[in-house]
Amino acid sequence: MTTTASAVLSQQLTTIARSVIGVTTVYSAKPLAHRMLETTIAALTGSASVTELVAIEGPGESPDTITVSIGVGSAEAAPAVCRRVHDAIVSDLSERGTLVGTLLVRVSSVG
Amino acid sequence: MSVPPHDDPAMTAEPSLDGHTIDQLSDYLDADRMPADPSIDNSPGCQLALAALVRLRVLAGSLLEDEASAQPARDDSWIQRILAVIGQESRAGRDIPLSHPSERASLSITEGAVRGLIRSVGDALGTLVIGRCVLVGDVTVPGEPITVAIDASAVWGRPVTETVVEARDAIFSALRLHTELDVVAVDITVHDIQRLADHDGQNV
Repeated sequence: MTTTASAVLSQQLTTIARSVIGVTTVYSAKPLAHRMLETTIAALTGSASVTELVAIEGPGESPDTITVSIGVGSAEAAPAVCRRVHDAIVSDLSERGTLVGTLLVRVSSVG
Repeated sequence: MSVPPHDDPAMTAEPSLDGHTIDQLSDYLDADRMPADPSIDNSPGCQLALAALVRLRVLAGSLLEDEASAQPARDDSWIQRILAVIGQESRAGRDIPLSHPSERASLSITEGAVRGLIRSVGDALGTLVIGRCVLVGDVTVPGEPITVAIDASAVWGRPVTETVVEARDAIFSALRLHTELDVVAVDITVHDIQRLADHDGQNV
């Protein structure tokens, strides 16, 4: 998968995750070093800041790993919200014929 | 179950939250989060710490304005300790598994999120300020018995026993709702009782 295609997929999956009831925010799931590098480059070049929140690893139309980091509200059970995000993304990937090795969904904040 | 030895976080090196310190996050709050910093706004650890800082400021009022305070005799070391703990405990920590029927699914809630939840529940009561919060046991193994060990400061004006019972019940409920941990105990140790101040610096 090209960098551009990866970025597009990341943004699309971010939109899907945000649309799930109970999700309050989608955080950057990329490793800290990667994020710091992106922030530094953006600052040096004056380019737009980081927009790829869902991390996608692996080539072609079958990423090895997709990682999503979410914040959930306190009203709904976090495990249920987490499962809904997972299922929504799997459904979307299935529709577009994209195979993924592992899909990680992590609840990083509650409330 | 015994509570782990007390480590004074104020005495340890200042932790880094995705490259930021608690002081930097405090400055970011002072600046009304402007200009927007994506490395803070997109970081769950920073957001957990910011939320805790906001609650602490509301609870402690003018006590946080240490340098500007007209009450030099006031001891705010307990706030400094809590600030240090917030910095340490807002980090993601261990991944705590959440169940899903699919074997290819990997769902989890971070230890930092759980500690942030506990802190927010305790702080919301308005009668307790949560300090250190430790999940004792292997949270990465489903079904493992877990004890939550909390150090706290009580707010003057209410029987401590009532405060602790209320906090324990609220924390149990929140953990049952938002995690799949087998929490066998919530141990709360109140180390001190604080008279908080309102924003005019008056004791309340």
